[in-house]
Amino acid sequence: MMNCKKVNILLSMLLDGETSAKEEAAVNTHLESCTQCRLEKERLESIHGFLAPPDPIEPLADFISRVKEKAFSDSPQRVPNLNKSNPAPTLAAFLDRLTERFQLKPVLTALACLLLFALSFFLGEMLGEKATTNRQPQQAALNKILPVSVFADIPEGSLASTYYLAQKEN
Amino acid sequence: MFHDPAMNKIEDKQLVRSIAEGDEAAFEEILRRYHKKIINFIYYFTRDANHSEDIAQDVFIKVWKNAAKFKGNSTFATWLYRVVVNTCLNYCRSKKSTEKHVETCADPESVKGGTVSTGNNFSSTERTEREYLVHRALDQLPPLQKTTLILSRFEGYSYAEISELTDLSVSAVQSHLFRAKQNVARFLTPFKKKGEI
Repeated sequence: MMNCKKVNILLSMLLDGETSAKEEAAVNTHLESCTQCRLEKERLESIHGFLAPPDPIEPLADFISRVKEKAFSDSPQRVPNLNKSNPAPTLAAFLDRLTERFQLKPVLTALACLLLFALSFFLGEMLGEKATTNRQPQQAALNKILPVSVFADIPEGSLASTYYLAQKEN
Repeated sequence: MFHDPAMNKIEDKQLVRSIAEGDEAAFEEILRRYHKKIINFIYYFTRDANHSEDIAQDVFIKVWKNAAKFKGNSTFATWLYRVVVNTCLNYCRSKKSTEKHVETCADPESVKGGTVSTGNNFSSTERTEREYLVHRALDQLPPLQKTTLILSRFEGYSYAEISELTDLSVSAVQSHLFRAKQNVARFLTPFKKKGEI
């Protein structure tokens, strides 16, 4: 058994000639037992009567020539393509057709993002490696100058050893 | 105006591509195919017989200038009707803002009701008044309900055709039409009770 809400929508479609035979039969069956929907049908039929198309307008005979005159005079001169049978191919036109045909735009965008990410990653790795390599000679040079690994290796008589001894006494 | 019958065989999309390259003959062919429908759609939408041709002219000039922007993802008719509806909405908005006393886009003086159509028992005056009320009722509708109602009731398109023109699903078309009719009925009920219609 159809509900009235569904029937009301079908009534609108019925009056527009858009229901199947099965739907029409179902609506008619429902209407036999539903006063509310019968009233709704009458209301819709009345609206359909009021919504009859008004008399169409017949355009003036010179409408087309007026529009052409205005369009061609307003726009900058366009060079018509005289070689219509074999238009000169351009890379942009070719790419446009290709992307349109194969819906490549989303794929290309995704590939571009992936490429950018990969590039950033490798660039970061390269810069990091360079920084580490640069630091190594500095460290090696430092070790030559002052091969200190523990406090005990601090050279005797230096300011640092004086400080170390003072700390040890405390 | 000489019309080359060979142009009839060319599809709309091909014509638009030619228009984008500056082909004036292609533009004329598009005008020839669509100008009557578009002028009448604008008339039904704005209820302004005096300016329908001017608005239609604006629409076709937009087609001439922007043909290169049509990518072919939809049919040309879909693209064209989108331009038409937007142009009509802009016109109605500007009309409401410049003429404060005009409640709606429907101006009773500009509604054509002088001619008598067959199959209608109303007098000329009654038809003008009745049509004015119907047009006011249409004016209350949101753009999509108004557009689908005009395409269905006034232009006789099927739901499938309306779906293609408006880029809506068929079930969305059903829903908009149903709500449009409900809203029109609700608007007209007080006038019916008074016996004005």
